[in-house]
Amino acid sequence: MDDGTFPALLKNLSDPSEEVIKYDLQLLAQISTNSEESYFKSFMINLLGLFSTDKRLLETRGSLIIRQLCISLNTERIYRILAEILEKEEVRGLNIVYVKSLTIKHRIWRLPVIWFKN
Amino acid sequence: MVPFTPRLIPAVLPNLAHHAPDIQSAAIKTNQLLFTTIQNLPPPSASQGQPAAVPGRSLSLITASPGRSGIPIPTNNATTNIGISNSPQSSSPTMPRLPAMADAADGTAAPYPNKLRSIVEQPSGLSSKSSVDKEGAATSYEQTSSRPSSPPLDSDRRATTLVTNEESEPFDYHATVSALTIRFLSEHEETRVAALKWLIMLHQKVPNKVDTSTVKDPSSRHV
Repeated sequence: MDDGTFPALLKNLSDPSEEVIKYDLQLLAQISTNSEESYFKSFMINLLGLFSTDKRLLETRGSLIIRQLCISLNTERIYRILAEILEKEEVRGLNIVYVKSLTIKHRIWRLPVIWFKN
Repeated sequence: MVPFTPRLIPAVLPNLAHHAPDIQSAAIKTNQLLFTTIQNLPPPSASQGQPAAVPGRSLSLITASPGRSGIPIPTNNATTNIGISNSPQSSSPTMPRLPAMADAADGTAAPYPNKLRSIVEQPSGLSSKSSVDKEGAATSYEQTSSRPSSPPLDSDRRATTLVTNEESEPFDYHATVSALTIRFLSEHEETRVAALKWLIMLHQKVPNKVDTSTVKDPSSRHV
């Protein structure tokens, strides 16, 4: 999308409406699919950044967002990117406490549950 | 009509959540029609090659697209399935209506019902827009095209619409995207959702126009 769309789409993830969040994620996923990996990675970095600054969002919408992304995108790709980001600590303020099992489409994925200090 | 989309978005989308049923219904119908029309436009590369001499054909192309009447807009979808793509002649006469709606609806959500009474001269073709289920809604849609400060511009509009194909790209993608993005600030959930659906459709249509520049990662901004 045009300049300025990306921040707006990120902001929508904090929307009070679940429907807005779902369609927003659909759009972000669609753009990611049609773009280079750098776009998706940047999106995920910003998403984690959003979680780090808005703990309430993480708690109330975190699983919804990740779930929706897994519906729209390849789960393995999401997990791989998340792992990459977290491994390189590209988002400040994160602290992985434990790994939680997540069953998606009959496959069990170990998805890091992100917990933040402070 | 197509070139006016960026102006129509701010006029129509906010009214999708209007408390007055007539206005909301009209907005939903209009949004759906506009959505369908843009969705059925030929891809930009194809439209650039279209000769100006056959503008009518371009419009017919839109209406001839099969299976395009189902718009994934859930609100009142059952009652607002205009099925414009199934009415060969409904596209041309209805298109000129919408530009006028931009002015009619700009910040005037309340007077909307009054505008229903001031009618722009309608060509006979418009009355055949019987594909609309509710006659009342159809009437309101036809009548909301009034432009109070201007004389009836029917024939002018149609002429404008028909010659838009002379432009290399009559549909202003960027302006439309901007207009839609601003809709995210709306207090109405329906408006925000509609804007997102529009963007999804537009991106599906022209993915190559996606600006893949993203915000720098937040860690780079942290002290």
